[in-house]
This record gives sequence, structure tokens and C-alpha cells, in this order.
Amino acid sequence: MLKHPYPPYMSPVAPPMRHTNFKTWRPYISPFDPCPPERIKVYNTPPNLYLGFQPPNLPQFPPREALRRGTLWPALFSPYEGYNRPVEREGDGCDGLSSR
Amino acid sequence: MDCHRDNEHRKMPEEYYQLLEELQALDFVLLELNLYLDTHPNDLNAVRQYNDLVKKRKAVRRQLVSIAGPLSHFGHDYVSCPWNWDDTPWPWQV
Repeated sequence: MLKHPYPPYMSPVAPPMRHTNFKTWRPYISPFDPCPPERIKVYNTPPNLYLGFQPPNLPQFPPREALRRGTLWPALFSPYEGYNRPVEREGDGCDGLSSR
Repeated sequence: MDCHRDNEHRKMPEEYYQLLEELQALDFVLLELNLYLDTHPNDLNAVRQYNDLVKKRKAVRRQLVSIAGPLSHFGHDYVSCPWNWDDTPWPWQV
């Protein structure tokens, strides 16, 4: 019998997401909102949220690059968006159901 | 006996900057490994790497002190005459 890749309570809507550091959601916009609405809100999801207890012997950056990047392990590297370096951002996806 | 040295035109040798950057890089890696080992005390590879880097750091530091004078005072580094632990460049002046 084919072993289902997802546990039963997780319906296989989309393939497993490639990790992204930034995700977005669309807040409710009220007609009485005095300020211009923010249609898309962005939130940061660094790798440590998904990593749990760090496994030993992860690959490492060389010392100078580690200093430049701010972490010793590529698996934990999560840069903020820079002017010259747009960060890959996943569209309307969101882990929770809040944005539906 | 008296000895003088002026500070304004003090120009650091080229290798000072390389050594300083290397020391900073080693310090950062040691810091990361330290934090990692706090939660993974039995990771032998990390402990070995940590000790290798400590050995390397001591060598880099000795070289740097020989070039640019003491990095810290209160007995952590040798000094020369005139008393030079407070010489320029300070970290923010480098």
C-alpha cells in the first residue's frame, strides 16, 4: 500500500515548500480605514523555526565568510532584504490559516 | 631614561589589517562554536575544531601583538616603552 507522504491530518495541497525566509499575508482592509491600506504584509521565517534541535556536523562557512554572513552554518543563514539583493519571497503562501 | 614616540603619523603595516581581520573571523567562529557546544556538549568534532581554532587564534594574536603592540592591558599583553597599551589606532579608528 503506498505510504502517504503526509500525515493524515495534512491534506497534500502543495508539494513540500522550499524554505523561504520571508512569507506574506493579506490583511483584511476595512472601508472605514483612514490610512492607505497595506495590502501585503511580510513576515520573517528564519531557518531556526524549522530546524528544531540543530543536528551535529552541519556544513560550515570558512571563517572569513562566516564573519561576513553572520553565521557559521549555511543552513541557518537568513539575510534581511537589501537594496541590491532582493530576498526570494514566497507569494501568498502562509503556514497558518489566518490569511484565508 | 625617557623615550618618546608621536602618534599622529603612525602608519600601520599592511599585514596588521589582514591579521586583525583574521583574528576577528577566528573570534566569530569560536563564538559560534561556543554557543553550539553549550547545547551540544558531547560533540567531539566541534570540540576538536574549537581547540584547533584556539591554538590558531593564540598564534595570530601573538603575531598581531608583535606588530602593533598590546591588544589589551592589565597583564594580558606585553608592553614597551613608552607605555603603549593606549596607543592608536583604537578599534573604532582602525
